[in-house]
Amino acid sequence: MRLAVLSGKGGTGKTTVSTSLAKVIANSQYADCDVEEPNGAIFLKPDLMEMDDVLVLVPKVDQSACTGCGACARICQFSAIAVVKKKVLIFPELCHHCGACVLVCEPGALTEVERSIGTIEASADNAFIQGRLAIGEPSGLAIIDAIKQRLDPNRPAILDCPPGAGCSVVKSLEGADYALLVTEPTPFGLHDLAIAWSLVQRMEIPAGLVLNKSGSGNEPVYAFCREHQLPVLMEIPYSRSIATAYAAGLLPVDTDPVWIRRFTDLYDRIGREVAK
Amino acid sequence: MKIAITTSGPSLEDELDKRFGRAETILVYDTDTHFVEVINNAAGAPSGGAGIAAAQRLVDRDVAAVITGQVGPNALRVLEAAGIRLVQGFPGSAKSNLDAFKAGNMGDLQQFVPPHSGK
Repeated sequence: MRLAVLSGKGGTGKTTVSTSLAKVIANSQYADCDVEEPNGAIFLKPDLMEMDDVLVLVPKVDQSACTGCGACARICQFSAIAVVKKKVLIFPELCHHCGACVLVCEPGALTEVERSIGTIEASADNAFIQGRLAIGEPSGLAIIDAIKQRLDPNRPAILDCPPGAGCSVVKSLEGADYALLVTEPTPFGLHDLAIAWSLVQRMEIPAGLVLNKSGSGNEPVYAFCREHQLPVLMEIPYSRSIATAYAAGLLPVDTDPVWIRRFTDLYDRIGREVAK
Repeated sequence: MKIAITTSGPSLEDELDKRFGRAETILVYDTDTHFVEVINNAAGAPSGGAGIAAAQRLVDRDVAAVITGQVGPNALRVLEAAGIRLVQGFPGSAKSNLDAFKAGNMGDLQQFVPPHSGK
């Protein structure tokens, strides 16, 4: 089963929930898809054995073959090419690697060359995988693709999604069997939960909720869940002891065995929801 | 000669929009025919590359100079390659900026900013 953990709002507990699940599920793979700020390693403390560059293809022009027709600049949906006085100007950091410019270049003046946008790291058995987008790069989608290529369809996989509900979250969610939404009982948490929920609805991925920092202010979240038939699968209380342990790099499952039971039950319940 | 100016709306009475790539509108004024073309620059603006797209629009129209407030590095690369003169606009209507330009009272652009400044 492939399980994606997302929230919309940052800081609600995606990493707490996904690393806890990774710890209690036998033979699981944990994929940190937040390539702009990966932090699962703080809690899972993996031995990262491998590091690979993530390469994308960007166009390169042979000016001597170019007729300056401008077809490449017109086809590019991302303004990554301008054609000025029959000269092709390429902006590699804006390129989305679709290859359309190369296809429409009649004289064949454009070819694709490799460019590194970041790295991917993994433990020896791929139980832990994370990506890191290079500073200044605008899009980590290719890195998320590279992370997902290391997922074994026969092993349980936990994908720790980036915050938000944009392209990088969509990319992480693609192919997930279940979306585990994590929120906190604040107006911001609920606002972004609604956005994340509508995204998984559109992608037709079954979903359930973990309410983290549960305590005061829960009722609006419950009301949302009732209205949209979103099951509340787990609540993690707003607790000083959990926060103190977390600040020391320890998860609830590290400090109190009852949480091992609860996260195991959570995973089993999700398995039953998916099987429905 | 064609002079472009970034503006907040489609009329010559509209104010200078100091942003280049993210300008609402770009007016292209032809000093020979006095014809003004209105480019709806913000429509369908992409998340990135707005400055390059705006610069390409000016290149395609054979514009000689653009009056604006600030330009980022990507747009600058395109505008410089095309030899389009960058002129420092001042807060005020498009018309007052164009009149000052025609009177020869305008200097070269001073303000260069990082990418995404106009977002």
